[in-house]
Amino acid sequence: MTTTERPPYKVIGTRPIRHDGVDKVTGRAVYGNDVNIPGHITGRILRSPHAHARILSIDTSRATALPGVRAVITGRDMPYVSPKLHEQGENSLINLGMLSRNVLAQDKALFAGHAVAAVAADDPYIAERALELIDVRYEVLKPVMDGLDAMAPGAPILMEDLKTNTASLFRGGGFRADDEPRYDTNLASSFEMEIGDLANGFELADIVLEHDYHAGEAHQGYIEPQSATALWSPDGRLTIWCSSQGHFSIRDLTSGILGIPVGNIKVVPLEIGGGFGAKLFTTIEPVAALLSMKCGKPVKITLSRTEVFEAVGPTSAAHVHLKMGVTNEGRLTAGSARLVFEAGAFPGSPVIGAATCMFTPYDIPNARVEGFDVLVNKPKVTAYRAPGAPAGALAVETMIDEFCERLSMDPLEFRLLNAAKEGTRRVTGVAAPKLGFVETLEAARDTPHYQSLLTGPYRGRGVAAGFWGNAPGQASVTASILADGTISLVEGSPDIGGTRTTAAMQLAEALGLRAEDVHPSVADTDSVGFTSLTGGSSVAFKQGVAAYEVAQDLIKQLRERAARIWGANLDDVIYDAATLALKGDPQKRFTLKQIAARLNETGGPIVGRATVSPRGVGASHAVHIADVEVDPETGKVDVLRYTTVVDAGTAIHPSYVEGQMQGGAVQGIGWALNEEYVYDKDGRLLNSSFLDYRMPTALDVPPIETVIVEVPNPGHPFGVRGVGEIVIVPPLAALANAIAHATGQRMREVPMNPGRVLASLADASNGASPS
Amino acid sequence: MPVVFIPTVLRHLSGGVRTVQAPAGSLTEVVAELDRRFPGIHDAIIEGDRMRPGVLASIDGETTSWLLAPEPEGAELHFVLAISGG
Repeated sequence: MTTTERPPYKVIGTRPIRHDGVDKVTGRAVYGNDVNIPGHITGRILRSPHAHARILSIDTSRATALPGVRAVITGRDMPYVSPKLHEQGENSLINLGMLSRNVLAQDKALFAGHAVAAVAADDPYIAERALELIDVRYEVLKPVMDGLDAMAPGAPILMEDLKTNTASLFRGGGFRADDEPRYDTNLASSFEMEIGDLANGFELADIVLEHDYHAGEAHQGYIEPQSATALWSPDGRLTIWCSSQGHFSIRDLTSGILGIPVGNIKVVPLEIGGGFGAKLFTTIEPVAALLSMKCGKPVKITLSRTEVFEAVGPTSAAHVHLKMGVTNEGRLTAGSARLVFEAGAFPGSPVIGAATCMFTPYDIPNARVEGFDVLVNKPKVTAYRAPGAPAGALAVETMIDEFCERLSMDPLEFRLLNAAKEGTRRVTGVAAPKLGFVETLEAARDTPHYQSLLTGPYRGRGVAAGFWGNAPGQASVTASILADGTISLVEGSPDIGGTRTTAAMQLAEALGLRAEDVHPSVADTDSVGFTSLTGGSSVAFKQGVAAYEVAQDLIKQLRERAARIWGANLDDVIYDAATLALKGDPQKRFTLKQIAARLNETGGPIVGRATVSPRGVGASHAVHIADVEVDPETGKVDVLRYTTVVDAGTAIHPSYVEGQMQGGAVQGIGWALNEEYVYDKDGRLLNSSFLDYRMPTALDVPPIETVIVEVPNPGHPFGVRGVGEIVIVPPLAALANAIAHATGQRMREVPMNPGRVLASLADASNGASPS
Repeated sequence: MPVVFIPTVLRHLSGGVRTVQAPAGSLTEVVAELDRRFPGIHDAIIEGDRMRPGVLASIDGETTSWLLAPEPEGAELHFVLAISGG
């Protein structure tokens, strides 16, 4: 671990056993499908077999008549939610009308797997049979499956009323107003950002490169399929049990889609078996709720693996056109990018993430990015770890590697020469705050891996860097002092990566306790204040601020209580290391445990609270080093050695940071080398199982070596930055660069599967230029 | 006076002007002053009594969507796109 300015923490930086560890390793933890409300029945969803089709009619009469069927619904049962831009409610970043149509199709099926009807039945077999009895008449239309094709004149149009949004800074696309003409477009939104003088920047360059890059769709590959149980009560209250990355989000979106007041919905969070961004927003909860409203019984829907692949989107496929310039001394002078990101069937690709991150590690004084969010007949994309950033980094980081090759410069020294520092202007125009990129590059340079020699035919080493801004958000917590001197901490962030423990550790640090003295739990939407999503690498940051603030509240109340007991002035009571003392009187001391035992008799329980919306979020950087060997006969790429270096700000629990680093690297390796959605000519997904969708296994990756860099974030009481997403930004480029050095052939399209690698080797033998 | 950076997509409203100085005050007051000089900017940034969805203000590098956030003397103000995490 490389650390700067680290205070002498007692809890932070240690590795206690996670509070939920025993439940999870013994199988007692309750996930979505483990919930069995008495009397619950099974919900199933009928999905379109066509990638693009008009729904002419849906006849549910035969299904409804089947004994054991309790409810059948179609899009007509969904309340109308306008997708028109000017009719969307204030503060609606998500177009609820679009989201509603993704949950259950209205007049058109826009991708193979789009939900068109649903049933609730006494058991799964009856439900499956009922789906077969629903008669849907389709007018099959030609699909468009590629973002560039979708932008071309004459492309099939997914939504006849779509209006491209360019009027404001940015907003997801929506429908035109009634008095506007049809636009006949698949472009949901576009934007641009620029700093400096681009033309002058390229004039200053001695070398200018320009290439096209493409990243395919990769699925998040979480273990737990979506599962939700909904119970509608005759008094108009709705309870939903589900695993998600934000039960407040599920509540609010379900409210918006179904028109049920937020106060009438309670969402109970369950353990989550992976999300990586795909469980931020609602998919099946409104369907389960509608079925329950119709039949009066609790309805549980659990998706199959095939449904997860076909209907709950992967990340975007991305087309990146990049041009960059550099001087003979290795100084970047200009960068220009055009990003076309596929949104799937509804607006909302992560093109902004790519646009704002791709140039940001570097001091590039003249830069421009154009972004396009384009509809295609594929599942609506969902977020996937640092959404958009890996595809942008694939382009920038491999082009930088080409510059290094041409200039005979060490790739890390090149990056050190051009690294962004505090005050560097980003393409957004914003000046960078305190960063740890230089320290991260230096730590990577000093690793045993980078200092080692790699030899042998068809072997190569690649490095790549990455940036991710991390997100702030809101967090609410309460903390109660228990009679034994321990603390009950109630929070609102679903725990994906061990965040119960990181919140508990930060509270323990602030109070002078052990991590084991804090008992964290995640409460439902009625039992804790609003807390924003478990996403954007925000939880350790915002819950840490909340934990720190609630500790200050507890300390204040404890000092007041001690002052009352001692008949002393509040200013004379001090709290340090879980002990209260009275200045000038060494006999007056309470340990936290002692005063906790006397709370009820001395004025009642002490409960602290904190609600925070911290602004001081700190960005993260990563540098990855990959060694590969390419089999020239098969095109298979073996990863021989892999090291990931990340600036965590402060690693609250280093094991969890290392886990994020290793997991992100492995997901990135899978995306880089194998993972990809494969469609047939009609737009149907061909590899919707873990057998055919090739994720890496333990046999495919070496041990992932980790180096944590700690350059504390000055905007957080303990210096936390966030590590959940930055970890997946560099792998695509690191492996592309490694393969280039192993074969002499530049790879500009991922996944770099055996077929593509073989094709590149064939190009080389046919005399094609390696660059 | 705070320095306000006009976003690229709104420079058609400012006649290509990239930065302006505005009197110190709340974010609302600064945007009102911008709109006085460059009509249309208010509606591009603010909807009703809130920042438009997807838009954040960056005040000296710290982001906020709170319109009453103070814009202190000498601060640097940007309007940036909100990014969704994963």
